[in-house]
Amino acid sequence: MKVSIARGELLDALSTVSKGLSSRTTLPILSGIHIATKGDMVVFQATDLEISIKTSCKARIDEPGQAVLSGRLLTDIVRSLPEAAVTLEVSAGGSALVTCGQSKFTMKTLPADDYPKFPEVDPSTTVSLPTETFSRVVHQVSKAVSKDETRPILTGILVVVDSGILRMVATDSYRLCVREVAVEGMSGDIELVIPGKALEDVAKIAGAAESISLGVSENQVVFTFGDTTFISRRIEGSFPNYRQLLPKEHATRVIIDRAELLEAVKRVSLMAQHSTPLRISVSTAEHTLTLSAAAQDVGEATEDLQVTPEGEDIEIAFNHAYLVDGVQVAEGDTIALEITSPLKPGVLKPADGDGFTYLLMPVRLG
Amino acid sequence: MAEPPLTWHARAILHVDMDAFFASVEQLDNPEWRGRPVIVGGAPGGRGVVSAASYEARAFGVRSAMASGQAARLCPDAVWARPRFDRYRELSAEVHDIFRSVTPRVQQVSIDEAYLDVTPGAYAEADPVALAREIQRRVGGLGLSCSIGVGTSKTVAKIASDRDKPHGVTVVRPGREAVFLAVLPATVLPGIGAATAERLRDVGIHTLGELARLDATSAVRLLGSGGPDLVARAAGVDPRAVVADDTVKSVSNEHTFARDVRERTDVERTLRQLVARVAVRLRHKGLAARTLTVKLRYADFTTKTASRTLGVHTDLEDDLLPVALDVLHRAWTAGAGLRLLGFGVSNFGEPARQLELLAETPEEGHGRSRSLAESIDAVRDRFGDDAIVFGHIQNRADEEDE
Amino acid sequence: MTACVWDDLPGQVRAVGYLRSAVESGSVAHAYLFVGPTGVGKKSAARALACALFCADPTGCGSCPACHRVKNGTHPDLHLVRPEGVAGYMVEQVRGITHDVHLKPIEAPRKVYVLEDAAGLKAESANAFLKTLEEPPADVVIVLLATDVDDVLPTLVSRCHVVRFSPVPPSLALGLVIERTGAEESDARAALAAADGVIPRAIAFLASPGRQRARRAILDLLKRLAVMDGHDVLLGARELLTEVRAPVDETKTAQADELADAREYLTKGAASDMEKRHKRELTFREREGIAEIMSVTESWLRDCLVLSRGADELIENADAADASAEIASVITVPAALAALEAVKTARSRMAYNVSPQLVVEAMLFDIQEVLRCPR
Repeated sequence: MKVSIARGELLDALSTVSKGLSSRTTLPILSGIHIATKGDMVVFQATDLEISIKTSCKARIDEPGQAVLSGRLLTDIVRSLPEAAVTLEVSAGGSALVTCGQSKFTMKTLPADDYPKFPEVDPSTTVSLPTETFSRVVHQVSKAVSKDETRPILTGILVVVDSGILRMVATDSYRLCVREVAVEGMSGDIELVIPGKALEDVAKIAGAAESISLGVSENQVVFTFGDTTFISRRIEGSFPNYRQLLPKEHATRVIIDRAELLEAVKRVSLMAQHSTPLRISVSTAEHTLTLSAAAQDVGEATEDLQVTPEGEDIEIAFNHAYLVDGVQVAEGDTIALEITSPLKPGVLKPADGDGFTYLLMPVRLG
Repeated sequence: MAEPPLTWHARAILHVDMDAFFASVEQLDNPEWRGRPVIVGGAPGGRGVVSAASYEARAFGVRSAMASGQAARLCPDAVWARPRFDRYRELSAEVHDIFRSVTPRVQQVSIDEAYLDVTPGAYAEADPVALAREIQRRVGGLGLSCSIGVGTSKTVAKIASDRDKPHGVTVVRPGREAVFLAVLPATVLPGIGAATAERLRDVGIHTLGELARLDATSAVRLLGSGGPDLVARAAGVDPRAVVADDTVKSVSNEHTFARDVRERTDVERTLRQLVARVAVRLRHKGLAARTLTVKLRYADFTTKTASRTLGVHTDLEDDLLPVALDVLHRAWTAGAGLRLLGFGVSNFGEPARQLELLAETPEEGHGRSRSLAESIDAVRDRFGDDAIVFGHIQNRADEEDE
Repeated sequence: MTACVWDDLPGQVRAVGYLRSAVESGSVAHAYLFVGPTGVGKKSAARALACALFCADPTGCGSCPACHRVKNGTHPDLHLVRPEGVAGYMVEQVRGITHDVHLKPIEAPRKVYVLEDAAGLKAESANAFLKTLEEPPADVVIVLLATDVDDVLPTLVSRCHVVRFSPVPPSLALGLVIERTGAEESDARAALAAADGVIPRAIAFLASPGRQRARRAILDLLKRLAVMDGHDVLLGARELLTEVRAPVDETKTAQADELADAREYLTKGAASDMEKRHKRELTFREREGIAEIMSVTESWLRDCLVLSRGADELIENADAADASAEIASVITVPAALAALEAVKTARSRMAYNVSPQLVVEAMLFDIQEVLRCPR
């Protein structure tokens, strides 16, 4: 095989498929990128057997063929090259030559026939989503995705498309985030759980494409955007019934400026020990919401915010990191905090309108 | 053996000791583990220790505070369970409720052990032996087992409960104390450790009967200032009352320096040790505190205390130590000679807990540092406070030795 | 090549019949424990099971792309795992398996996980695996392999259907080795003796000139042993160990090459994992080599005994018959048993991690004593 590709395009393609490289594997082939010619294009593939990524770019093909090269090494080499045409020449003897201007690098190759077959997915349903909307929603809910492998289903995000509405839900059992958004012209119905990491990766690498098509089959989910195909295995099992976890009513509702709350929470958290809960007290008479780091002397890390409370005076405590996450990703410049009791979940919502719910379980103080 | 229907005309104290408590809870919650050796503790692959072992595992020689690796070698087929202290505390509380329904005088010594004053006419009506049997039956109703000693004092009850384990009731009737104790080895008496027993053996004392005959002077010489009390207890005389838990107001520890100490590092090291000990005792008693007090006595014997109150109750070194150090540094300037340093906590309540939306997720963050702390406690219980010290304490002690 | 994947498992009629009917009647369990001696076909049976489950034909056609991928070890839904830790499976490893178990399959309708040496699932790694083994997703089949059911934690055994594999009778084993290697009968017999009757090991032995040289070396030594002085025995032991280590050194070179190639691909952590795995493999190979010369010694001593009873057709080391015949003419049964005991002692010393050099020297001196005074 001998091909020449513009350095920028080559680097983009390599960076895209690199998300599919396995980092911990001791199987060299899974740390390799499969490169093959197809017509006047070069197709790049990588897989860790959970996700598989394929992308392609235009090239000058002097000699068609295929090869597997070290993903990390090739990416590092190309990154170091000046902006010019890069030639990749693979010889039969198991080595490859990368040249660009005066620079030359030799690399080992692995037998391309040993490379795992790229999954063939035949989606039963496909929907098309604007990339910007998709990425924003993923960013918002991904904070609540569980990192605990003992409950695999919670490491995924529930993705639902239903009558023109896109909905994503994630929970790590300490908080739950639901985001709904209407997408114009979107048709099709889907409901499935997709590994959170896969969605985050797609959001990261799909930036340039205007829209993402999402196809669902029995076992896999396939994202297509630009020249790229990104396939992830689905998670077994079913997502908890999140609707029954959402409180139906509240005792207190406070309207707060989101930026102001975020700054205050961060400042107070700075004073807190690592595991310290953050105490929130609401006074309806004084129109204040008081934040304090509960493990410290009250007074050392306290801030009062002027707010518009409705309902009863109340006190509740949250893990500060969970609260920061929620305020950070919440929709709207003005948000509502709804509280039922110190032992029931608190809810962050946009002050006016729906479409975003961040529910967080409190810390029970002694 | 059926007890004769005698009336009990004396103080009556029960010592209730749960049988292989942590392991039994695991067997209760995991029915397929019943009848199998179960070890509660840290990973045998890592540097964990055994927190508790079921009787099936003890048959292989597995003991609490043993290194997990050793336990795994002794009993390779054991089921390993990670300690779930919240669950143990929950059941301990249920057991405690049973005790409280019998008598208001309950002194919880640790999560799996308590003294009950059931003196007829004073704190209970029924016959103490019948009460012991009833407690055992009701504890059995929770799916757990306990052994009970019935006696006229804490010492006798405590020693008796250990005579017939598991699921025994050992009764020492009033007047029979000395006879019961006389033949037992001196080491069964709380307060007589291996080193003390050695010293006693050197003077020909092996049994409690022999210890009971020791004169007061020799007692002080051999056993220190507490010697005469130990001798009295060896004879079955122990006037200590059962102190109900709600009378515990604070937990503290003090250290008197052999010479005046001025160095910041020395003082901080001592404070770390004191905080660690206090935290262990808090967890042992199942308490969590909000108020910290640091006590300083200067070279001129003036004494000063400084306190601070936290927003939440805690029983963890990690939470207590940074605040304790801060209190120390506000109250003391390095260079001023100290004769004594003390640390105490008070203002007890429930520790803070992150609540969950969905059940059955393992503990996170705070929970993990708690289970670490609690498995360390298992070792400390057995080998004393100095068996495990955290890296920074250890290192500094090493430096001093060099 | 074959019409049906189950045909490749001679000598396991019962186990194969059981598994085959389970697949054909759609009653495959979630977890199996295959138990039986080394080399009788447990792993092959697990592969056959995967073929039968993945193939469109429930008997496993053995020739479709899915079957081929299973046989080549490249099917993405068949996971063959072996312990990566010194003392068995590592918790991280089990977590990796568990993670994959909870993802849907890639190509096949199901996923099959084969865990070799299930005795290596201990304490924490076993605990990490229990929940998965108990209630895996519906499309998962887990197969644990072990030589003895008593070596596996009962908590694991109780969650598995136990399938027993019988030892392959020596005559069948001999036939199989000849069929698969084309070796002469006498060579195949000697190879099986060196390999303790384990078929795959005998086949590997016949393919390794180095291991055959080590066998020759011990036989030569045994032949001359009675007349050697102490110094010669020590020298002989050293040369013998050099022969034993020669094939190990070949492995070492191959490993170094593999690692050098892999470094270009793997992350630092993964490369260091590979290095550790190599080191364990070397230790294992060396111990295996020592065990092999001990097996040869035992079989040669048995030959002496057999010849002294006049049962010439039973000897296993025909190429060393001259020496064994010489000893056979003078050796008594108790003397032969004493010599065999010396080998047994040597084996147990190896198990206690005594240095191989010392063990072999001591064994040779013990046998020499018997051979010098064979009554």
